Amino acid sequence: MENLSELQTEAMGELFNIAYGLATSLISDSIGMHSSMYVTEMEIIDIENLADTIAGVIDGDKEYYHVSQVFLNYLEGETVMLMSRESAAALTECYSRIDDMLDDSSEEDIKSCTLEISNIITSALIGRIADLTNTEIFFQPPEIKPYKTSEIHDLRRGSEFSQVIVIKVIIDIDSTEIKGHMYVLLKEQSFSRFKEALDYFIEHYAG
Amino acid sequence: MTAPNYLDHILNGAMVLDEQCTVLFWNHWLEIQTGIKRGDIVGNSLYDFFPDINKKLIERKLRQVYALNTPAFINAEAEKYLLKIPSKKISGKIYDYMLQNVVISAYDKKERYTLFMIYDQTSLLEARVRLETSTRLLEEQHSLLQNTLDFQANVIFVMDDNKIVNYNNNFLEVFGYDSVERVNSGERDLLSYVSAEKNENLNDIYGSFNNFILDSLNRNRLNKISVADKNTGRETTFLFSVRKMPENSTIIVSMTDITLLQNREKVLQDINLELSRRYEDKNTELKKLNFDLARNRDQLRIAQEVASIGSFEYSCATGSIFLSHGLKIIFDNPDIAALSLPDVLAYLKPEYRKAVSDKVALACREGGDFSAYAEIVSKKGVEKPIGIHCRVFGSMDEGRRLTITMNDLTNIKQLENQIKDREQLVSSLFDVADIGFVITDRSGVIFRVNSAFLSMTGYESDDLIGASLDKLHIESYKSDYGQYERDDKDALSEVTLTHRNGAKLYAYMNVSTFKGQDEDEYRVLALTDITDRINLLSEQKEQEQLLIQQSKMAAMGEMIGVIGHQWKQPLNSMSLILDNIKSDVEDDMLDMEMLNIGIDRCLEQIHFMSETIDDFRSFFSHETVVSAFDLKSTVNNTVRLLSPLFERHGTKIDIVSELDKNVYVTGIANEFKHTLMNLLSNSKDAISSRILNDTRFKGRITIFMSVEDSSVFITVCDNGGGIPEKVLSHIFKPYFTTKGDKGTGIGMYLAQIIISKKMNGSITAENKGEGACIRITLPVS
Repeated sequence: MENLSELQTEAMGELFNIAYGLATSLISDSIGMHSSMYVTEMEIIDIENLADTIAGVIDGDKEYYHVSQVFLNYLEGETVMLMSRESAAALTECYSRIDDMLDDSSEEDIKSCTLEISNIITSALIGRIADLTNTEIFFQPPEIKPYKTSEIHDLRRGSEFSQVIVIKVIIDIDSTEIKGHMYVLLKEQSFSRFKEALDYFIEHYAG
Repeated sequence: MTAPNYLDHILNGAMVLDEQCTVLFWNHWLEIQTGIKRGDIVGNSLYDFFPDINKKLIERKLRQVYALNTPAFINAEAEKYLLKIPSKKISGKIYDYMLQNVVISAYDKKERYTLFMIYDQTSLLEARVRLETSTRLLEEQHSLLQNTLDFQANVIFVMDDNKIVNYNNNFLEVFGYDSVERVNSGERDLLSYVSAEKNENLNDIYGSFNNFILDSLNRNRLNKISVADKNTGRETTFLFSVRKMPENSTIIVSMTDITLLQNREKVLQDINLELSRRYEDKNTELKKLNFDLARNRDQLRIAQEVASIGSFEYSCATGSIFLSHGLKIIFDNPDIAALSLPDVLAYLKPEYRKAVSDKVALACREGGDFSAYAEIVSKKGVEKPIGIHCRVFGSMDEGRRLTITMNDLTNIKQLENQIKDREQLVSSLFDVADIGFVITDRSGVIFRVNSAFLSMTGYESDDLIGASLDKLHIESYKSDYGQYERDDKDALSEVTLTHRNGAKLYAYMNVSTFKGQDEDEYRVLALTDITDRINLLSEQKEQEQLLIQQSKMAAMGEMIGVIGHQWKQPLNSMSLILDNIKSDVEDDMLDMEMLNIGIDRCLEQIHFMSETIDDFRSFFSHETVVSAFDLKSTVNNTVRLLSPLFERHGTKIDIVSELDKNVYVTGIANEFKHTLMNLLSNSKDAISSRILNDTRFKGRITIFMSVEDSSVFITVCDNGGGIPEKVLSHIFKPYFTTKGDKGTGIGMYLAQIIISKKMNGSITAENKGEGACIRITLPVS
C-alpha cells in the first residue's frame, strides 16, 4: 500500500477493525438486531485517482447518496460515503423494524438513516485515531445529497487533499446486506499524522 | 445544575438532558422560541413538553455519543427538527415549523449528561428551496429559450470575451459538435472556422473572432462569411449581424444562410454571361458567314476558271440570263453581253443548238435536270468540247430558274488521250518483260496477263482472261533451291503451277495488292520461272550423293586396310597354333587336352575377327534416317576402329573430352563417322609424310570435345605440320587436294556439306602448334 509500510498497513487494518467493532456494536444496540461489518477492500490512493476509482465501483444504472462529513483539528479531512439508494432503503427498512416512525419509502427517512450510519462509521474511524493519539477532533454535521460525478472531480480540483483511504464496507444487519464505499480524504499533514498514529499503535498495542 | 452563562447569550438553542431525557438546562433562546420558561421545564421530562419527539431516535443518538465519544447529529434536511417549534415568520413562510440542525455531544460523561445544541436552519433551507425553485424556473426558461433558438433557421450564438456561452443546434451543425469545447478551451479560435469574401486572411487582420465581430459592429455593416463543412468541404455563405448587450460585454451573433440566394444570383449572372457570350458567338458566326459567302463567291469564280467551268442562270418566265465570269472565259469573250438564251446558244455548233434548246424548253416546262454534250466555237474560233449540266430550281407557279453549267472538256480530252498513250506504253512494257505477270480482281478472276506469262505456261490470252486463278493450280512449294541461292528468303514465295500441257513448273511468285481510286482491290502476281534451276539443283544433289558414295567407297578401302591389319595378328596366331598342332601330331605328342586348348585359342581369335567384321558392317550400313545420336560414343567407336591401324603407322589418337554426360546431335550418324574418319585420315597422311623424313617421329592426333550453351565442339588437332597458309582458304572447295594423285579432293568438301547443310553446324580449319586443327561446331539436340 502506497506510502505505508507493511507494518503500518497491518496496523491500519487492526485499528479500523476495532473501530468497526465499536460501530457494529453500536448499530446492534441501536436497532436491537444482530449486525456485522466487513471491510472487503482497503487501500490508499492518490487524490488524482479518486474519480477513476469511484467510476470503477459505481453502477451507472443506480442512484447513489453522497454523504460527506468534515473533520478538523489534529486530523483534517473529509469522509465521503457513497451508498446506493437500494442499500440506503434496505438500511432504513432495518431501522424501521424497531422505530415505527420510520418509513423506508420516505426520502427524508432514508436520508436520516444514511446520515446516521455514515456518521457512526466516520466517528468510529476518526474517533479511534483521536483516542489513540489523545487528541481532539471536531466533526461538522454530515451533509447528504444525490451523487454527481462532477462533484467528485471538484474534490480533486483546488483542494488540499493528497491521499485517500479507500474502504469498501459491507454491513450485514440481520442478513440484509448493505454496501457502502467510504473514502477518507486526508490533507498532506494529516496523512503524516495518521502514519504517526499508526506507528504509535504499533509501538504500544501491536503484537 | 448550573450551566455556563454564555449559553444564555448565544443565538442558538442549548439544552442539557440526563439519560432519561429530563431537562437539566434550558437556555434563554429556547425560552423565547418555545415560549416555555426555564423554570417550568427544568426538572421535567422533555417528552412531557414535546410529545412528538422520536424517542427511539434520541435513544440511538445518545447511545452513539457515549459509545463512540463523538457527537451525534440531527439533520434539518432529513429529520426536519427535534423540538416542534412553530415558525415565527409571518411573510414568505414555507415551513410551519422551525427546521433544526442538532449537535448532540456529551456534557458530563461521568453523569451522562448530554448537551443538545439546536441551530435554526429554517431561513437557510427556505432560501435553498426558493433558490431551487428559481433555478428550476430559470432552467425552464433557458430550455424554452434554447428551444426557440434551436427552432430558428439562423445560426445564433452568444459570445462573451471570446468564449461561446450559448448557441443553438444550427451552430453545432455548422461549426461542428466539438467546436464549443475547442473554442472555450482556447484550443481553436472561431475565426479559424470561417473565411471571408475576396480571400482576406481574417486571422492576420483581426487575430480573433471577437475582434472581427467587434469591428463589423463598430462599422455597423453587414458582413458575409463562409464556413466550410469539415466533412464535405462544401462552403456555406452566411450574412451575419451582431448585437452587443448594453449592460455587459456579451455579443449575440446571428448568421443567415444565403448560399442559396447567392447561388441563384450567381446562376442569373452565369445565364446573363452565357447569353451575351452566345450573342457574341452568333454575331461572330454571322460575320464569318458573310465573309465566307464573299470568299466562296470568289472561290467559285476562281474554281470555275481553274476547272474551266462556266455557268449561267436562265429565268424560264422572263427569259433573262446571267452569265458567270467562267463562261465568258470559255467563250474567249470577257466582254460578252448576252441578253438571251439564243445569244448563248449561238456559240454552239449548229448541229447541237436545237437539241440543247429543246432540253432547256422541256426543263422549263416540266422540270427535271439534264446533261448533254456539245461543241462550241469560241470567239477566237477555237473548237471546244463542252459538258452541259442543268439544274432546275423553283416550281412552275413561282417561275422556274435553270442553272446551266458548261464544262470545258478540252483538257480532259487531252488527258484522256495522254492516258491512252501511256496505257499503251505500259502495256508494251508489260509484254516485253521476261517476268510473267497476272492481274486479278479481288475475287481472283484474271483480267490481264502478259506475254511472258503466256509463254511460260503455254496458254493463250483468251484461255486465261475471265478465268479463275485456280485454273493455274498454283501451290506453295519449298525447294532446297532457296537455301543455296537466295538470301532474301521472305520476299518471295516458291510455288508450282501447271503448264497447259500438264507439266509442273517451278516459279518464284511475288504478290502485290493495289487499291484503285474506286476502292477496288487488284492483285498483281509476278512469276519468275525457276524450273530449270530447280532441275539443276536436283542434279547437283544427286552429284553430291554420288560424291558421298565415292567417299564411302574410299573409306571402305581405308577400312579394308584396317581390317587387314586387325586380322593379321589373329591369323598369325591361328597359323602358329595350327603349326604347333601339326608338329605335335607328327611327333605323336598331341593329346585331347592340348587339342582342346589349341581349338579354344583359335576360336578366341575367330571371335575377335568376327567382332572386327561387325564393326565394319555397322560402319558402312546404309543408314539414311536423320536422328539424334550420342556424339561421345560415336567418336569413341570410330577411334576404337581406327586406332590399331593408326598406331601401326606411328600415330596415336587421344580423346580429351569435357563432356560429363551424353550429348546428342542430330544427323545421320554414319555420315558424321565418315567425316571424322576423313579428318583423322588426313591427319594420318600428314603425319606419315613427317615420319618418312624422320622415322623416330611420333605422330599424335588429339580429339577435343566440349560443350558450351547449346553448341558442342569437336576439334581434331594433329602434329602433322599443318596446312600451307595459301591453301587454307581452299580446302573446303570440291576437287581441291594437296595429295596429288593420292587425293580425290572431295573429302573436306563433303565434310563441309555434311556438317553445314545436313547437320546445321559449321566447320573451320586453322594451324595450331605443330599441325592443323579442324573445328566442328554442332547444335546440341
